Amino acid sequence: MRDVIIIGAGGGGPVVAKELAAQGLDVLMLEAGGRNANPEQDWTHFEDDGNNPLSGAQRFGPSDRSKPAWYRQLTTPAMNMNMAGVGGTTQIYFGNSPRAMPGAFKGYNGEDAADYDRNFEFPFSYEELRPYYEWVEETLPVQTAAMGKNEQLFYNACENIGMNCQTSRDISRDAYRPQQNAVLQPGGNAGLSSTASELTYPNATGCTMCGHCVQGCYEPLGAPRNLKAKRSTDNSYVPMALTADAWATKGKAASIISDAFVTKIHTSNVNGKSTATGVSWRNTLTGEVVSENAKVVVMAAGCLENPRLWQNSNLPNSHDWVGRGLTDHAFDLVCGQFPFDTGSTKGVGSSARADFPGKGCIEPTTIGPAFLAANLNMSDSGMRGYYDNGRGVYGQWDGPSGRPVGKELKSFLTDINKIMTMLIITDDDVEADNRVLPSSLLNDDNGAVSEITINKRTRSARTLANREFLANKAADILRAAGATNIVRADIVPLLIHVQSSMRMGDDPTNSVINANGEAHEVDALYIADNSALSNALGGPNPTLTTQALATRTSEKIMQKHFAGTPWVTSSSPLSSIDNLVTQAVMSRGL
Amino acid sequence: MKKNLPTIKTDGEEESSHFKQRRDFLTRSGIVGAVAAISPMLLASNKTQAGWISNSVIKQVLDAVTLDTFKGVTAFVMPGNDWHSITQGEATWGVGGLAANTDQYLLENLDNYLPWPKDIGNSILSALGGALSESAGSIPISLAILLKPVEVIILNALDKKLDALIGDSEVIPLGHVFSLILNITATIVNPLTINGGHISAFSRLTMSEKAQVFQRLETGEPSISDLIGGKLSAKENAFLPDLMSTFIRSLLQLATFGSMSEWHALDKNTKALNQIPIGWQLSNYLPNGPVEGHDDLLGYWQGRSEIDA
Repeated sequence: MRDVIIIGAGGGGPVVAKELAAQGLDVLMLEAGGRNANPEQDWTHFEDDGNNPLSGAQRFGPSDRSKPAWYRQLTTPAMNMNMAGVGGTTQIYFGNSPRAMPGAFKGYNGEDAADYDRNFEFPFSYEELRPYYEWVEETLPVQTAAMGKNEQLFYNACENIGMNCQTSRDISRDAYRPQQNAVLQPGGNAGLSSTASELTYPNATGCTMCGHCVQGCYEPLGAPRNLKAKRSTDNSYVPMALTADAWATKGKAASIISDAFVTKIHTSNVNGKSTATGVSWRNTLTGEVVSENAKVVVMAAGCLENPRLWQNSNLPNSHDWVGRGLTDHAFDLVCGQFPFDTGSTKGVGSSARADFPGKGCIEPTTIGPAFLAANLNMSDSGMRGYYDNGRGVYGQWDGPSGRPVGKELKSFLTDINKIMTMLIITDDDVEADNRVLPSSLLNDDNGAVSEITINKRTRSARTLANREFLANKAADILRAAGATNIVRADIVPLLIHVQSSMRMGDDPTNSVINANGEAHEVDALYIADNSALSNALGGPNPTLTTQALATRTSEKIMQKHFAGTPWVTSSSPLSSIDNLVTQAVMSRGL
Repeated sequence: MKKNLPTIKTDGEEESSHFKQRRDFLTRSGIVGAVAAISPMLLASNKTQAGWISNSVIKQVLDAVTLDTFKGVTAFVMPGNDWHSITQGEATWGVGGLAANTDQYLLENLDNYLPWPKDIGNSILSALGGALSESAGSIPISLAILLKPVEVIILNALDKKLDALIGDSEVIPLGHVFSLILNITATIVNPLTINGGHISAFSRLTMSEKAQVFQRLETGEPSISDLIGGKLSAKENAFLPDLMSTFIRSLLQLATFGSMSEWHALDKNTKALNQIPIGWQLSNYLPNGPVEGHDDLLGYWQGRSEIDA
């Protein structure tokens, strides 16, 4: 019997694995997708090879790329961008690691308190989470983003419209700032050269500003896995978990099995209450079904899979809140066309941001032409010049929102280096009708598939108003930066920042897990990914908060089940780029 | 079946009753056009005889319809100086998405990787093949396609084989099925397009008419269930509208993604480019080819490379 089995090696699961392996527990991580052990060989910087949602290296599907992706039933217009494989969706994230807005937490009494989703706040204070933020920020590590042409243009534009620069990690006012990114700052030749032969490790360290975050990070070439620039968990927490015996005094190396799709959580009745005892998984390559027991089970399969697994396992759901309250940051895209080079294809996926407490965030992004063209075509406003699907919203952009097609799209993309793309990240409300269920209609090899409902058009008035505010503000910034033509896509839900489908709360009638991360209705069953978040955080990108929360949950697990004591406030973390980790990674060929 | 269905003139060849029932579907979906287009090739290669037709011929016919439809889609999102762009009335001086083989890209991805239920394509095709509903509208009899006797023989044989394939639960690729729906919808938008210069009705539409097809299918007016006339199971009817809407958005996204990506220029074995991709040329992306990094570092904003907690 294992001490702990963790379902999913994405943004949250490896955090628990690393923390508990460091405490000496016997930890097994199970990942439905591939191992991603050799990214320099297996991945490329090409958009289709990496990001094709059906057949790309980064997709929600089996590691065997000759097989179709896995199906999810969408009952409302949406686009799934959650990834399978070790690292999960952090494989393609930008490494953006802002803290949540303090207003999303219990006890917040700022003047703008009423601006947040007060009905679904975190069940503890922001101050309580702060040491866990600091712990994760040192572990990853999180660093201030370097500046390229794109960021300089953005900062100057923000200044031009009268915004202030924020110089602290805590968000307290409307302000712009360099991102705090889980990306190693450029060193050596990195950022100073475009010549490939000059950009190999150790002549180059950290981010080479290649502009390919969304294809997974394997730069600089030749660097040990834990020294790759982007701190996706496949480069940070997973290597640490697998080498915990080498760098933690009482550590025990965690195990990982990939291509292992968990299809059932087992429980037994202990003292009159359902208690997790283990899991069964299906080897996606052979079809073999394997079961193993554990004292504690941690769900970290993601917002769109945890509800499916819960219900396919027939776990209790007395209050029908499992899968409810899904938030997605109600994304949108506002793109500007410029008469000069904006550096829009270079550097980290996003190195700058503007935060608007109570409303959300805006960030300029670095993406290639195929990705941009496809994302513009996710519009919910029909086609510019032809039909508007009942929307076609007007604002500070040019013309109605919608997809550019034909000559307009071709003209818009004439020079990708003269575009700036703003991502709108809305502080959206937890709403019960937005949910994930196992489909009553469709099964795949792993059971009833996830059925996802998130109706953008019927979101709360606050959510919709926040989204409009941010879209207009983004257009203002673009105009101040010099954009001569601005298009708003008004996209359907883009399911990449997904949160709160198994939310944490004090009240079991509207939450699934308690303030310690343990299920209200199943003992020894914890949740430690984005689905555990209580709300949409006020808008900031969720990964850092998920990882801080997973660290806190690890302590709770250790205390309740293994007679341990908390360590975050009584010790210092080891960085994932520490030489102890590097030596272990290299000697073990990880 | 309703009155005033299109007639396939046969120069005296007798039509089977089954064939008569299905001619509306076969004409409007583009299958008749595909047979007319490729039958000389089939006959030349001796791949077909009266009353018999192989699976590979079925595939050739369906591929011909689907690829031509996807050419029309590609020209719509990313026009160029190609015939399909010219037909729609919106072309450009330089090449467009078709130069990147985006029609092939769509076919490969939608048929092989779309993770949708395997049997839904057969169900739709089976229902479509029976008869179209009133909501599909009528096609003037004067617009019928004139087929040569040998082409009718091929078409009859193909029709029987297609029916058998569906009945045998042979999986009909979804890309093919949905391309047929695009064509049927095209004939609703403009009945005149059952005949013309391309294989598929969709590719004969103007830019504005193509947009109307997407609008109908994206918004579900009329719904695909209505179009088929309630011949699907309750389960299939429950999710087909969402599936269709999702498909249309996916199709548009993939068409633009394929047009602008490296797919057509990438050697899948070596993972190296054999030319600068068309999409990169169109967008001035990485004009010197792939890079491992850029010399874009300007320092840190206001000199701060780190901040306090």
